[in-house]
Amino acid sequence: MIIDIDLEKCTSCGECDPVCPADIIHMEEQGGRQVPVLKHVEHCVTCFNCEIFCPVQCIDVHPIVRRRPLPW
Amino acid sequence: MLEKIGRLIDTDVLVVGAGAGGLWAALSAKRHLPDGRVTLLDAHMVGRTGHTAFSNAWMVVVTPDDDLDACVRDIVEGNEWVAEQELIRDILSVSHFQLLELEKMGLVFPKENRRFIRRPTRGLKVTKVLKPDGGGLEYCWRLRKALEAEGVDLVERVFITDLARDDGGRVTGALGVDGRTGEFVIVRAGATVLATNSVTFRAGFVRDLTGTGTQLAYDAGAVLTNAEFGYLRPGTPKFYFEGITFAIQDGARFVNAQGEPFMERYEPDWADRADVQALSKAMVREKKAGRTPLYLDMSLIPEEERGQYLQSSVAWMDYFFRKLGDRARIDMFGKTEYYPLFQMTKLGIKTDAACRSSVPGLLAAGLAQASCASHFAGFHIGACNGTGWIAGRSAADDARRLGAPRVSEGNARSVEAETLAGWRDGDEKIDDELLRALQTLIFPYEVSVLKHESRLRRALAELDAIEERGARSRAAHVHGFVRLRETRCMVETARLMLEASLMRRESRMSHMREDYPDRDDEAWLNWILIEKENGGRRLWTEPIATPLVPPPASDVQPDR
Repeated sequence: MIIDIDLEKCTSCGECDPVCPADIIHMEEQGGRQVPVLKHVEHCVTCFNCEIFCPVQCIDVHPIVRRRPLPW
Repeated sequence: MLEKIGRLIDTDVLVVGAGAGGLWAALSAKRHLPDGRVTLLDAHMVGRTGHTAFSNAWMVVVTPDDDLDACVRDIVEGNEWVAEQELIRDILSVSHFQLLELEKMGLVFPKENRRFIRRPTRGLKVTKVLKPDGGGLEYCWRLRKALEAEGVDLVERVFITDLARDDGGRVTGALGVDGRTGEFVIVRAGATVLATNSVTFRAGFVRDLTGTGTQLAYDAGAVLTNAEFGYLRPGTPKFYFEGITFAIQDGARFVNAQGEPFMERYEPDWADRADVQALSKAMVREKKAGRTPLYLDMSLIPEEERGQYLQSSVAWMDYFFRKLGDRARIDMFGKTEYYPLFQMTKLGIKTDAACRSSVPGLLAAGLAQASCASHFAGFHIGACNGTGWIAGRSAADDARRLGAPRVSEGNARSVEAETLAGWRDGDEKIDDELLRALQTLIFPYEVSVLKHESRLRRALAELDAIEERGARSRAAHVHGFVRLRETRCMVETARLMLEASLMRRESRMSHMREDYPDRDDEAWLNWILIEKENGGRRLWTEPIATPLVPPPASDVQPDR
């Protein structure tokens, strides 16, 4: 699940927003510039797309995924 | 004036869903209708999201040197005859042409001595698979670029809620919302191809997939099939691993609580190399025998082979595996507990060999199309490629033949009103609560993996309450509205899955009945077909046509 975006490193390029298949990263105005804001983060599918396509490596996705009910 | 109701898009061919099936359907439609308008619409970003983009893009390809008839037989036998034989032949026939097209787009398929490097795949004897450098992300991106170059319009972040139909019942486009802004969108189309993948319950690796197009087709009157079959595979709740086939080829073994490898007991010829549903069935038998927990022992993979798993060509896996040890303190080369996981249904839209559904103007491609009931690594994307090409060609013909489409203003207004009300004064967490309730009902192995009449009936009764709650729920925002619609689709699919599972009184592939444990070719070489009727549904059977590969004699099981 995505856990952190380092806004000091972020260049506001917006690459991370459209590549999210769960609609979690929204570019929004904050402090006079566009920054990625996390919404409904519990719906993250841990696909790493945001981290993969971030050109300045400011996004961190943790590999552990949300548990689902088990078959037994 | 439709323009006053929402954003209006006019097109000759609309393709919904931008995985392998949709990308190829759009390309094919444009090639077969070069002066026409072709629109590819996706709920997210074309070329960057969807299950194909997250896969290795292993695909079946039959080259001119291969024996096409033997490959058709291979796939049909692997599907235990629940397969559209002529469509499978056509899918395989076009696969080499598609491979060459992908190369022209700049996709690189590794070669040795000028021949493609291909590998065998679980459960198939002669058919081989190959994958491009860069996996599914590179595959989808190259196809996106080709579509842009050829003039296909891309519409992104639009979630389709309804299909438009004219007075004669023909599908004339689709209605939906922008998943971010909530803007209402109307697409008027001469022909519509649904390529929205299978329905899942957000299990395992496919949490991004919901397969809502199948439900749209059902609501529009199309016939569905294969609800009783699913994609069963071993999975671990700790992490997602899409490489079991090749890990086993490199030495990994499934072992039980006593540390014994158990697959030879159930699959003497294939052992751990059996297909994933055979692995899953064996895991259930070990459970019934009291020998759980079960593990995949990856420590048997030689040290020198492990690097390839940690440097996957699939970008997300590469990140994932590198972080597992450091961040989650999980050693993927140890013994990890595994379960049989019901990953996705095989429910799909029944079509003819030209990928046309039973409703005029509506076609299906990719896994939304029910070409067969089993799963093999590589055949999924192979089938998506082929059905995409075939559906796009048929859609181009239909758009020409059926004439100008008409979308009723009254219908568009009523759908808009219902849609916009869907996130007014709603509940912030309702979609998550319903999904959890559905998963808790469906995921137990005695419901979705090892079935029995009494348990299926009990699950159906419990599903009523979930369905009722879903029907009267509203979301708090457009994001929740989309999630809620997806969950309702899963609930309806669960009902079809349980009812079709009750009807098929035999065991075949992923459909395992404890009370009917044997395969019955005499009574059950049939499709179970489903359509909406009078507010309910009608399930009936029809014989499976076997024009190319005859079924085995009744007392002979195929040598698998």
